Amino acid sequence: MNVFNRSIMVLLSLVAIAFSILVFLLVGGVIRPAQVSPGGFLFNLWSFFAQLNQADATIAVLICALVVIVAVILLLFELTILGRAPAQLVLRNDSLGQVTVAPSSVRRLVGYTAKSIEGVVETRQTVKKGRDGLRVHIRALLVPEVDAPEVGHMLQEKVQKSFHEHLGLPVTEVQVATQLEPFDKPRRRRVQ
Amino acid sequence: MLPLDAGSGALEAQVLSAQMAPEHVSDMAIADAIVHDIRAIPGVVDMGQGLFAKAATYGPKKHVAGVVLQHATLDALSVEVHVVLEEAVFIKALSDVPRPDASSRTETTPMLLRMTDQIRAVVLQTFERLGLPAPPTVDVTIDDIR
Repeated sequence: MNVFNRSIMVLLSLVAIAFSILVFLLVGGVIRPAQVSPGGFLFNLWSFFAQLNQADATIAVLICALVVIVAVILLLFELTILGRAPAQLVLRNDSLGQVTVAPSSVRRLVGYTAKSIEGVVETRQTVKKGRDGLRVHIRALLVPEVDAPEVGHMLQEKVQKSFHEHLGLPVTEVQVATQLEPFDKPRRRRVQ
Repeated sequence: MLPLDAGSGALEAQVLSAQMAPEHVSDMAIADAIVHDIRAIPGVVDMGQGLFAKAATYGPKKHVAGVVLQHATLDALSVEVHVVLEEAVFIKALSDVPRPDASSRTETTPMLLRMTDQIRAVVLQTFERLGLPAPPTVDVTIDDIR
């Protein structure tokens, strides 16, 4: 679902919640239809709810309660998704505008840098935007013959230096975890 | 009205009016010219589609992906460019050991910014070639590297 659709969903959820609350208040006799009908707008609708008999009012309240629950769940879901929009990394912000890069591109670059070091077979990495620069976490699969702490240290230095000099991105933290086990182990099949 | 794009999950957020830019060059013609010139830059593989929203300039029955034109004022267009860069360029640069004595501007300006500077310069040249006033802003986004 795209941003436009999500925004519509958020709006509809809010409308549903507001409508349900009004129905609660009208059915409960807390407010009168005239109070929520500026200029007579929707007066007939509100009057209908205000004049429901007890049985119908109970059904209306139950339905509205259900609507509120569904709307709140949808609202929380949509807001969580919207809040998780990928934050682009700003490389430059000057009078001519912004230069940004997608975090996925930066992750790839970390991978290229890591693989250029002898002894590194494969990497998995995450890049997060910190307050003063990037925070890079790398899991590196090494060949068994290399000195893991040394390669890890080289990896840290190279990522930090290369990113600063070639990409203009300050790197404040490079955490490296090395391993000899492949990332994706082949699954064993049970032979019958 | 904004078109709904349920297929790709991307938002077609930029539906630009069919306004004519200054000098009666249409937005589509400007976007086409920008895309043509940017694709000619070494290291640019393709135009990007946008990360969260689909980035394109829309015209009658067609759109130009990777360039968003916004009418900042009546006589000025802001440009947003989305590009996909070539990974080979970066692999080469990243595998080279950085030289500590690099002193010239070309060497000290990070490669990524050199490329985006070039893209911005090309956009400005395109506007000049079309006889349009320079855009107040040229935002560049690197959508992908492949």
